Order: sequence, then structure tokens, then C-alpha cells
Amino acid sequence: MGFMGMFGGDKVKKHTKKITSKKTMKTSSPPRDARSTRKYGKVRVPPVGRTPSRKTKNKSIASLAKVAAVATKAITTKSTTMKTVTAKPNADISLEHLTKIEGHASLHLKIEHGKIIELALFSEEGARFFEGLVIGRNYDDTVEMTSRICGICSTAHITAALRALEEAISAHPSKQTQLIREFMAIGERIRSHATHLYFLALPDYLGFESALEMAPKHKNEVVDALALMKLGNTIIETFGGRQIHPVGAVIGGATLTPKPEHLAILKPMLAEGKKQAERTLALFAKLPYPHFERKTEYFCLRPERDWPLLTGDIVGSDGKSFKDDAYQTYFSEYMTPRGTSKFVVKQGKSFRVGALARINLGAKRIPAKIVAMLKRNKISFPSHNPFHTNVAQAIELLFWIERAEQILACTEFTEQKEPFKVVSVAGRGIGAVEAPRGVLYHDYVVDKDGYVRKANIITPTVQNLKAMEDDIRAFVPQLLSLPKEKIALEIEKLIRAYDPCFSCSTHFVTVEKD
Amino acid sequence: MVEELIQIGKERQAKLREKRPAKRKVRVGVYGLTGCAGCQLTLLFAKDRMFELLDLIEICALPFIKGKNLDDGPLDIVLLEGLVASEEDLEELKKLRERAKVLIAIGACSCHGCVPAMKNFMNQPEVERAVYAKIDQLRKLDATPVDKHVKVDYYLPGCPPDENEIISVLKDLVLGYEPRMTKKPVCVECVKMEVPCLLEQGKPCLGPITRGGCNAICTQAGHECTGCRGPNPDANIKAFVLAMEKRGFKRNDIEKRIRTYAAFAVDELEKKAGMLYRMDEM
Repeated sequence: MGFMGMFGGDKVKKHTKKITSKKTMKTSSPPRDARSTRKYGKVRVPPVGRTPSRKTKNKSIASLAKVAAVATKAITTKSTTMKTVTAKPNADISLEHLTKIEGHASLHLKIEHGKIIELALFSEEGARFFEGLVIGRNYDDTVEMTSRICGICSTAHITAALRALEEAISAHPSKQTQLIREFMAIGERIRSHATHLYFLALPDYLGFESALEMAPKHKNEVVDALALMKLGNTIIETFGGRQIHPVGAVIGGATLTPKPEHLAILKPMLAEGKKQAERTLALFAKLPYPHFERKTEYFCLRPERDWPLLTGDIVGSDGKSFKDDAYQTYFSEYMTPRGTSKFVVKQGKSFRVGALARINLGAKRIPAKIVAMLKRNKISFPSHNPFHTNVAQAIELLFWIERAEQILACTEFTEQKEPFKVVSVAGRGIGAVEAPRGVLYHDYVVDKDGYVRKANIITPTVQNLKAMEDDIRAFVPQLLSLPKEKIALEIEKLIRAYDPCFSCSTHFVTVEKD
Repeated sequence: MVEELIQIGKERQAKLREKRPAKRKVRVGVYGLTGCAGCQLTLLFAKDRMFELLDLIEICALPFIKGKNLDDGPLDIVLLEGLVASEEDLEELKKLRERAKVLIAIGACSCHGCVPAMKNFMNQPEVERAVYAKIDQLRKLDATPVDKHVKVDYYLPGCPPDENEIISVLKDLVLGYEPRMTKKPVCVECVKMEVPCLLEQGKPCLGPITRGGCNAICTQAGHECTGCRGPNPDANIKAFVLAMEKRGFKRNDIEKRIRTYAAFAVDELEKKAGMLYRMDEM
């Protein structure tokens, strides 16, 4: 990891000063404007005492990295004397093209005299204009096209689009169809959580750069991860026909009735998955999460009896709920000059959606056995520690596997010929569903011929972006005594805990009109 | 006797294995431009089959799940997902082309431009204004597939691409064969899988003009083919549209659907076959 420079420490200062005197670094405008080439997961930290230089020539980075490695060594051996860190540290951290997240995003953080003076988290995905592209398309095409917004949560986009469009044209699918969609969503929840927990989050806590590197030493964990992902995939494939961008769910019905032979394969997999999910929860409850809390508001769907999935009104921390149609009166969107992602706030304040929100707002429903187990590990819900999103995801993983097993045991799927010819009427429909990362809104206006005239989509990640920024702002002060590389890692862990999806966050950028 | 023969065979195999010099592993990088990460996920889900390959290949870069990635230096194979939609994408692409011996475009986005590239054949300002009020702020480029900018060695289309096809192409390349890819339309595979024809059931299926290789995965699930793998090189698009019109579908709907995943490729095909079409109309 190319990292140069440290806080304080005389010896290090000498080192870094030497470097800077040897290699004069060109200072220029920030990286985005300077069109720097992508360096995945590179932490750029200019040497102490210099004006923040954000663009360095590749060559000088490489040679600096060598010397920085020596400097790091010096620090680690002198770690006992490191306590005398300067009281007012300066730091300029740029996490360029964060790795182990979905999509491209960067973070710029500037600290002067121990205070954050600049903090910007932004998406670097190119704009794809999905909401513009679906205009003039019929509703069948619209469902399929919006699924392409995200590969990880394609089912969420499909179900949200179906919910919105069916509301707009007053189509009412049968109970079995709804159950099939529910299963697809459950499969996706399992797959997404397993992928995030094991492949994106866990390596940080176990001290590896990736799950691939982790595999030889933690074989059991990787085997569990692969099995859980396969379980999720098999569910989606059984009910939706494909693993990614499933096709089975269409307006007014389902093209696919799950076959008995496929369901027979699924049942033992679910039984095995339950054990794997239990192990996952035990593992993630024991991880050393940073001690950090920030109280904020939470939002999720609340169905009558169930955990949040595809139905229900939106409910907040205050217990008040509102219909999905009213989302625009509660939330407002704004845009920053950098990046292609929009931020969503509620009355100017950040809020959280996602696994943590769902578990926090339904904390009373967690089984006593799990509550006791978590208590032994000093974790309790509601929790205001964003790192506990990982635990919340593990709870959901176990819950939804159990739930899928229960539904499957008492349901028989019959071949149904539903009327696919939908009589279309003009109207507006808004659909909210719980994607793995939080509440996802799709909003369409359809004309009398069944063509989309207007579309608006708000994804969970854009809702969480502001909370992520606020968390980083609150989290950084307690990190200042750490070396910069460590600060960067902790911030990356925090961002990853939210399981952000920057592909999703990008297409919804709306620049405020002047 | 047979056992003896088998024993001799095994010994011979063992000897052959010894003689084979230890070659270095093939360096593979997996990168994504603007896209949905679905193709990289497909790779990730194919991992139990990727493990078979891990003796022969080394995954040097996969920023989606790896923290440490090889940022410079040559790579043997680069699997590239996503399309070019910003200047950063273009720079990244050019750099990757320089580094890669073999550049494989995976997925509909990098092969054909997928849904975002359709914008080029629509009223662009209108589409953009529906999402962005003020467009100048973005450093965007027209959404274009990868081969509009650099040479692409192999295409693995599909949204998402077929995992069997990815593995087989990787295996072929690593073992030194020319990758085998299907050049027949989806209909051929549909018949092979014994799926009842959806066109005959009155669904607007694009199977006849879409490149196969997907094992008719959608039609097996009862959903008509929507052409995510792009047009087959010999597809007669205009004739297909006419045929669909006769079956009672709206021309506008069909034409838009054909362009959903591979607008550029369809456009080129139409231009190339312009003369033929005119004869059709006569």
C-alpha cells in the first residue's frame, strides 16, 4: 500500500523530509480535475509539513512508497514512543477509488490542527441516465431495463419497478406471484449479505487484503461464504430463472412456476444454510468493532407481521409511518459539485437505511436466544454503532433462511396461467421495497398507451451517503492518534460497513436548478 | 491385463507431467468501468469452477473484492466490464489496453453498450434533461462500448454473460487454443433444450436474431428473449421487424426492444445490409 508520511515522531519526520528534498513533488489541482489515472484503493498521503499535494507523478509515488515502507518500519519498531503524538496533527487523506465496494467512489479528507476542514465522499461512476432512457418505453421493457441499474440488487429494482408500475396501471397479481417475488427477494438478501459480509467486510477485520488471500488460513469461513452465496443464487434461479437480472417476474404475473425437482434441491440446502448462517452470526458477533456511536434517525418498511421485505409503509425512528407515495414530502435531495451522486436528507439531516435500520426498528422481534448471545459479546440492538450493520446483516441472513424454509415447507406451487395481457390505464405509481442496502423507491408516470412518461428512482446508497459523511466526521477525531494508514483503513471499514453500491447511486443525480 | 495397461498409462502420464516445464501463471486482471458490477459478480459466483483454473492463472487485480491490486505492469488477460461514460473511464481503458496482451470485453455494456448506449439513438438532450437539470457539471462522454475506443480481442456478450462461456474461453486461452464461441442464434439452443417456441405463443421473442451461447436461459424460464447478447452477425433485422409487424406487434416497440442492449451493433448491421432491406420492401 503506497503510503507516505506519518503524524509526528522525530525519526519519521527526518525520513519524510529526506524524501521530499530528493523528489520535488508537483503540486496541482485536486485529482478529479487533474485527471489522475485510477489507482485502486490507493491511500494518498503527502508528507508531513508540506502543503497538500494531491497529484504526484507515478514515478515519484513508486519511489516514495519504497521509502515510506522503511518509514513504516521505523514507526512500528518505535511504536511505544509514538504516544507523544503532536497535539494538533495535520493530515490530508485521499482514498482514491475505494476497493471492495460496488462501483467507483473516492473520499477526500483534509485535517488541519486536528480539525476536519474538508470532507467529501463522492461517486465516480459515469452517468448512465436510466430515468431518461425508460421514457417512451412500455412497462415490460421498463422493468427489464431498470434491473440493469445494479447487478447485486437487480431483484430489488425489478420488484420495486413492478410494485410501482402495477400500481400505476392497476394490475393485481395473484398470491402465488407475490410469493415468488418474495422468494426472489429473499434469495437476493441472502446472496448480497453473504457476499458483503465475507468478501467485502471480513478481510479487513481478520487483517487480509482479500477473501482470496484469506482462503488458505480460514478455509471454513470461505467455504461457508461460498455455500451461502450459492444458496441465494439457487433460490433466485429457482424462482426467477436466472441468477443475475432474473426474468421470471413480469407485470401481472410470473413466467415461471418453480419446478418440484428444483425445490427438492433447495430444501436440504436451506437446512444446511441455517447452520452456516448460525456460524456466520457467531463469527460476526465476536469481531472487534470500533467503539463509535452516533445517534440518528432510521427508516425502513414495516409490514404488518413480518420483517421488512417487499411490502408495508415506511416507518421512522419516531414510530410514525407514512405511505410510500409521500416520500417526496419527507425527503429532499441535493447535489454536491463533485461526483455524480446525489445526497438525500430529511429536513437537512442525515438518516440511515439498510440492515441496521431494519434490525434497530424491529429490535423487539429478535429471538431471545440471539439477544442473549449478542449480549455476551456486548452488542445490543437498537445500536447506534454503524459498524454493527455487519451483525445486523448476519441476523437477517439467519432469519431469512429460516423463513424461506418455513414458507417452502407449507407451500405448493401450482402451474398458473395468469392473464398477462394487462389493460393499461394512465396513472402514477410509486413502489418502495427493501433492497439489501435499504429502502428503494421507484416512481413512474404511465400514459394511457402503457408508455412511461416520467421516472424517478431513489436508491438506498444515496440515502445513506450523507449519514456516511456525518459518521466519518464524527469518527475521525477519535482516530487522530493513529498513523495515517490506520486512519484510512478505519474509515474504509466504516464506509464498507454501510455496504454502499455506487453503481446504484449514480443515475439519480439531479442538479438543483438555478 | 487391463489393470496393467492402466498402470502403464498412469506412469506415462506422470512422466509427462514431470517433463513439463514449470511455466509462470497467466496474469489476469478483472476491471470494471461504468456498469452494474453484475458481470464481476458472475465471475465471483463461478468461483468453484474458477478454483480449477487457479493453478494456471493468477488474479492480479480485482478491485471489487481485493484490497491490493497490481496497478502497473503488464497483464496477460484483462477481463473488462462496463462501458465508457466519462473521461476517467476512457483513460482507464487506454491504460488497460496498453497493459493487456489480450483484452476481453465481458458483458453487454463493454461489448455493445447495453442500455445506456441507447441514448445515442434517442433525443440526447431530452434524455439527459430528464435526469440532470444542468448537464455541464458532469465530465461525461457519450455512453459507448469499449471497441469504439480501443481494439478488443474477444467479446463475451450477455447481460450478464454466461459463466460457462467465460470459463471455457479462459481455459482455451490459458491452454493455448483459439477460444470457441457460438455463432448461431438463440433459436438453435432453444430447440436443443426443447423449449416450446414463444413466438408461436404470441410473445415478442428476439431469439431468431440474437446471438446464442446462453443455453436459452430466459426462454427456459418462460420469458421471451430480449436480445441481451446482441444481434447475430447474420441477422436480418428489417425482415424480422416486418415479420413481427405481421404478427401484430407495434413496429416502434419492436425496434426499441431490438436496440435496448446493442444499439450500435444493430445500427451497423442495418447499414451493412441496407441493400438487402430495400429488396425486401420491393
